[in-house]
Amino acid sequence: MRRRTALAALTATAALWRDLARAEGSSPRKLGLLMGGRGEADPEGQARLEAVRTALAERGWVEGSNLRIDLRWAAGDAGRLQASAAEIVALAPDVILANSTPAIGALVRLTKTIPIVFAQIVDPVGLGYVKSLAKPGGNLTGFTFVDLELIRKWPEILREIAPGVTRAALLFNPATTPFYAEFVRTLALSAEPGATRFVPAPVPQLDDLEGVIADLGRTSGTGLIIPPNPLIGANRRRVAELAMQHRLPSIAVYREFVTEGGLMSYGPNSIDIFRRSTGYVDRILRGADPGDLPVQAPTSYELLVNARTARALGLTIPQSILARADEVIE
Amino acid sequence: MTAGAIASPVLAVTDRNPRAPSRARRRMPLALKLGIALVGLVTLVLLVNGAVNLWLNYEEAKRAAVSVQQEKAQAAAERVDGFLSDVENQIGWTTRAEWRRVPLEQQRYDFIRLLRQAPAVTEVSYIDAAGKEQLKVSRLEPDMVGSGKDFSAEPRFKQAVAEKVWFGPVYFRRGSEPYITVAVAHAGRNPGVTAAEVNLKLVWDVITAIKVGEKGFAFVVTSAGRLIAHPDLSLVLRDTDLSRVPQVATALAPPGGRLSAGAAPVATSSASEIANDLAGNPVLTAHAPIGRVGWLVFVQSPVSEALAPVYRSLIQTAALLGLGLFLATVAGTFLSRRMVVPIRRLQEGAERLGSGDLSQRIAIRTGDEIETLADRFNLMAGRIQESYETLEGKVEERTRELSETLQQQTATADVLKVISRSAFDLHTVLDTLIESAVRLGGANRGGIHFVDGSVLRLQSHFGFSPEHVERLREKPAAISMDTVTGRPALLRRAVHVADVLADPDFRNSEMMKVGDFRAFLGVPLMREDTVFGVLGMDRPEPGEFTPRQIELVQTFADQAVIAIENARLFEQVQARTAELQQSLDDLRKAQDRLVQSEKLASLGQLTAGIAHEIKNPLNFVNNFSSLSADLIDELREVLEPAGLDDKTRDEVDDLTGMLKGNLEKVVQHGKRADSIVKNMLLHSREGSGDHRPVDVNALVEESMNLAYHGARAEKPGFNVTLVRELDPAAGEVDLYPQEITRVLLNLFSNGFYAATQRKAAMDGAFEPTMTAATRNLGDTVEIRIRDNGTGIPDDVKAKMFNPFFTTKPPGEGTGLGLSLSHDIIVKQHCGSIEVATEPGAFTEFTIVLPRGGVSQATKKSGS
Repeated sequence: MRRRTALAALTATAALWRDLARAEGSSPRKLGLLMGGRGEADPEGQARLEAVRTALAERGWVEGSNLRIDLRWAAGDAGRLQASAAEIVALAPDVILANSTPAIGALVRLTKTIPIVFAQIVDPVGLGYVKSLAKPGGNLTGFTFVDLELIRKWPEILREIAPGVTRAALLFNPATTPFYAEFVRTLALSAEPGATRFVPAPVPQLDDLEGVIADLGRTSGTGLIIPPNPLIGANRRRVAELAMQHRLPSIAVYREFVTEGGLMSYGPNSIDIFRRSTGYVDRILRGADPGDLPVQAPTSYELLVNARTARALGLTIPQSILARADEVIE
Repeated sequence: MTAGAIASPVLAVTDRNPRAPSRARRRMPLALKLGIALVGLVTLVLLVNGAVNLWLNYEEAKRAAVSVQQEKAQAAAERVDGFLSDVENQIGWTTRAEWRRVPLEQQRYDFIRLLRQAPAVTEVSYIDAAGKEQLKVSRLEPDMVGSGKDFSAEPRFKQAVAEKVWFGPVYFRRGSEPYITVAVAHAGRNPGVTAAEVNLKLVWDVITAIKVGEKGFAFVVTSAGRLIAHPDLSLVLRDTDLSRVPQVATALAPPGGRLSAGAAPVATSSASEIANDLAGNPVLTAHAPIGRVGWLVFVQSPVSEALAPVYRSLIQTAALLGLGLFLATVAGTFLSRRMVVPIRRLQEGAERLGSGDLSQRIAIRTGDEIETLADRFNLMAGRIQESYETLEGKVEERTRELSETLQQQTATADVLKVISRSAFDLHTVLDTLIESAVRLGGANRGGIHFVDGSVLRLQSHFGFSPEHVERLREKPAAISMDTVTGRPALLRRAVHVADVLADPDFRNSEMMKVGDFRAFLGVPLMREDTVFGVLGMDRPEPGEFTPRQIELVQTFADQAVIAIENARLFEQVQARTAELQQSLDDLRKAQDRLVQSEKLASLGQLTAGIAHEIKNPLNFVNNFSSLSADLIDELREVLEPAGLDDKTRDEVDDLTGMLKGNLEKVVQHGKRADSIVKNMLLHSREGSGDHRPVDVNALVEESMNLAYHGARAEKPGFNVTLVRELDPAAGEVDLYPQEITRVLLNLFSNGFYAATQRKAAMDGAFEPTMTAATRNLGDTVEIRIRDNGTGIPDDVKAKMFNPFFTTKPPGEGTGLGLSLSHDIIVKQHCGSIEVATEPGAFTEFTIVLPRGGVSQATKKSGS
C-alpha cells in the first residue's frame, strides 16, 4: 500500500517535472501570425504587430524566449494570402493568429487541426467557418470585425455630412472578398424608395483602382463606401487621395483611413481587436480548445471625421456628427 | 575445592533467574518512560489547547470571512445595480414631460447623445403615448423615423407605463451576446416610453472592477441561472447555464418559487457557503440579489484565500505545539536523566552484588528515597557477606566428609570389581583387599592370616618387610591374648588396640623389634560361626582408630570372607567337573568297543552265511567242470579210430571243441566266484581296511547285488525288482569301501525286509521295488536308497539311529545296524544320512558323501 502510494507520488512528480520542463523548457511554443490585410511597410500593420507582441508579453509569452512568432505579411494580395497561409501551415505552429477574411478562408481550407484565432473576420457563421458564435466547434475561433448589416449604416452616416450622396459605391476587390457583389445585389433589390442606392465598385487589380474611382467621380451624388477588404484597406491612402482628387465623399470601416486623409470612418478599433485576440492565443497555448471559445463581436464602434478633408470637399460637419464622433481630426 | 568454587555455582543459581527476566523487561528504560509520560502530558495539554484554539479561531475566522464575502456580494450587487441605474438615468434624459413636444431633429440628437453617453445602449427608440414607435436610433442599423410600429400591447410599453420603469428579460443576440430591454415611461399624463436595448456585455467592466481578494471574482446570473456577466467573457458568450451549480441552484430556489423579472425582490437576501466552482476547486461563495431584475450577483474566492487567516492560525498553533513538544522533550530528558542516574547506579551496585562481589557498597547521596534504598542494599550486602562466610566453613567440612566417603566407596567398588573379575584367583583378591583395607583404615601395613590349628599363618599382606614375613612364617602368631593378631580369633570379634605398649596382655616384644608397631586393629574372618582367619593392620604411631575406620575394615573382612568362600566353591566345582569328564570318557570308550564288536559280529554273520551257502556248490561246479574237460579229451581219443565219415567227424570235432570251450569258461568263472567269496571272508576279517578313491556307482551296484543275493540266500522265495538310477558323472570318492559297503548292505537288507513285510501283508498283489540312485553334486555325491515297503512310523523314526534299537523280532537284528551306518557316514566320512518316509508307502535314505570326507575326518581325529 505504502509502496503504491510512493509510486504514485513519484509518477506525479515526474509528470509535474515534465510539465514544468515544457513550460520553461528549451523549445518555445510556436505562433503563426498571418497579417492578411496589411503590408510590412504599413505603419498600421506595424502598430497591430506591436499591439499583439505587447499583449502577448503581458500574458507571459515573450518572443524569442518561450514563444516563436512566424510572421507573414500579405498586404491584401490574393496570391500572397494563399502562399503565406500555406507557408504558415507548413511550419506546423501550435496556434495561428490570422487577420482578414480571405486569409482565414485560406487557412481553413489548409488545416483542420491547427488552432486558428482570427482577428477581424466578416460573418464567419455565414461563410460556414464556425457553427455558431457561442460555440464555434471546429479548430478556429476569434473576433469578428463588423456585420455586413453595417453596410447600410455607412451611407446614412455619410449622408449626414454630405446630404447630396444618393449613390453609395461599394469599393472591393472580388479576388479576396467575392461575397460583396452578391450582398450588394441583395441590398439593391430590397432598397426602399428614397433610400441610398448601392452600386458595386469592384477593383479586380490594384492598377484598376484609379480608373474605378475616376469612373465613380463622373457620376454626381456618388459616395465611396469602403467595407472590410484587405486589398483596399492596404491601399487606403491611395483611395483617400483618389477620392479627394475626384471629390468623392467617403466613409471606411478603417479608422486609419481618416487619419490618412479619408473623410470618415465608422467601425470597431482594429488595434483593440488584435489586442483582445491574444487572449484566445494565450488560452489555446495553455490547452484550451478553440471550439469551446465563443466568437466575440466588437463591443464599441468608433466614428472618426477628418475636418480638413471635409473642408476641402466643401462640406460642413453637422452637430449630430460632432455629437456622435469619437474623434474629429483637424 | 575452594570455597569460591563452591560459592560461584550457588550464586549463579540465585543470580541467573532474576537477571534474565529483568533484561527482557528492560526493553523500555525508565528514562524513556518518564520522558514519554512528561512529553505525552505536555503534548496532550498542548493538543487540547491547540485544538480548542484552532476550533474557535477557525469558526471566528470563517464567520468573519463569510460576512466579508457577504458584504462583498452586497457591494457587487449594488454596483451591478448601479450599472442599470446608470442606464436608467441616461434614458431619464429623454423622459421629461415636455420631451415629446421637442422637434424630431432634437429628439434624434438627444438619442445620439444618449448613445454617446451610454456605450452599453446599442439602440434606443421612442414609443409615443399611443404605443407607436416614432423614432429609433441604432449604432449598427439605419435609424428609423416614424416607423409607426405598434408596441401598445408589448410589455416594454404597458409595463413601463404602469411601473414607470421596466426591465425586460435577458435575451441573446445571435445566441451569444446578452441584452436587456430597459423601458422608461415619460413624465406627465398620457406618457410615451423610451426603450433602450442594453448590451450586457458591458457589465463585464463593472464585474472585472469588483475585486474580491486576490483570486476571487464576481459574476451575475439571471433568475434562470444563465450567466450574463463574468470576468471571463467567453463564458458569458458561450451560453453558460449555471442553474445546476449547487450554490446557484440553492440561491435560485427560494421557498417562494421561481423568480421572474420584475417580480418581488428575491426572498433570500444574501447567503454564503463553501462550494466548488466550475473547475471543482473549493470556493467560499456568497451572493446577493438585484431585486428589480431578479438577477443574482455571486462573489466567490478560493477557500484557501478566504480562509487564509484560519490557516495562519493553524500554522501558529502547530508551531506552538512543536515548540511545546520540543521544550517538553528537553525538560523530560533532563528530568528523567536526573531521576535515572542514581537508579542506574543502584542497579549497577545490585548487579555487582549479584555477581558475587559482596564487598561492594553503593554510594548515593541524593538525600531522597533512592539514597535510603541504597543504604538498605548496603545493609543487605553486609548481612549476606556474613552468612556466606559461615556457610563456606560448613560447606568445606561437609565436602571433606563427602570426598572421604567417595574415596572409600570408590575403593570398595574397586575391590569388588577385582573380586568379581578374578574370582578364582584368591591370592590377587586377598592382596587387593588387604591393600585397600590398610590404606582406607588409616594403617601402614596389614595382613590376612588363616587359622591353622592353634596358630595363624600369614596368607597375604601389604607393607610387611621381608624379615617380618620370614619371622611370621617361622613363628606364626598363636591364637591367644598374647598376640594382638590372635586376639580377634580368640575373642571372635574386632580387636582394637590404641597402643600395644600400654596393653597389659601384650607380650610379644620380640615381634615389636621386627614389626615396630604401636596401634593395632584386627577383625576375625568368620564363616558360619567358625573363625578361619584374621585381618589385621597396624601403624607405628599409637592412636585410636575411628569407628568409621573400624567399620570399613570390618566391611573388607566380610568381603574377604565372601571371596575366600567363592574361591573354595569354585575349586570344588572344578574338581567335580573333572571327575565327571573322566567318567564320560570311560563310558564312550566302552561304547565304541561294543559297537566295533557288533560290527564285526554282523558282518561275520553275513559273510559266514554266504560263504557257507556258496562255497560247497561252487566246489562242485569247479571240480566237475574241470573233470568234464578232461573227459572231452578222452572222448576225442575214443573216437579217433572209429570209422566215421568226414562230415560226421567234423561235426564231432566241432561239438567237442565247443563243449571243451564252454567247460573252460565255467572253470574260469567258477574260480572268479571263488575269489569273491574269499574276498568276502577277507572283508569280515579285516574290518575297515584302507581308504582309497572308489567309483561310487560300482560300489552301489556291487552292494546292491550282494544284498540281493544275501537276501535270496536267506530266503529262497525272495524276489524284488531292482531299479538303478546311477548318475554317470558320480565319479570317485575317497572312502573306506568296506565300511560304505557295509552301510549300503545294511540299508538294502532293511529295505528288502520292509518290502517283504509289506508283500506278506498285501498277499502277493504287490511288487516290491528297490531303487538305488546316485547323483553328482560337485564336491559331494548323493546316494539314495529307496524301497516301497511298509515305511517307518514316526515314533520309530525318532529312535532308529539309536544303538541297539530294533523293530525286528528278538534274535533277528542286533539294533546296531543303522547306528553303525550313521557312525560310518557321519564320523568316518564327514557325510550325512537322512531319512524320508511315509508309513505304508516308502522309505528313502539319502546319503551325502563329500569327495574328500575321509581326509577331513582323519584330520579331525588327529588334531
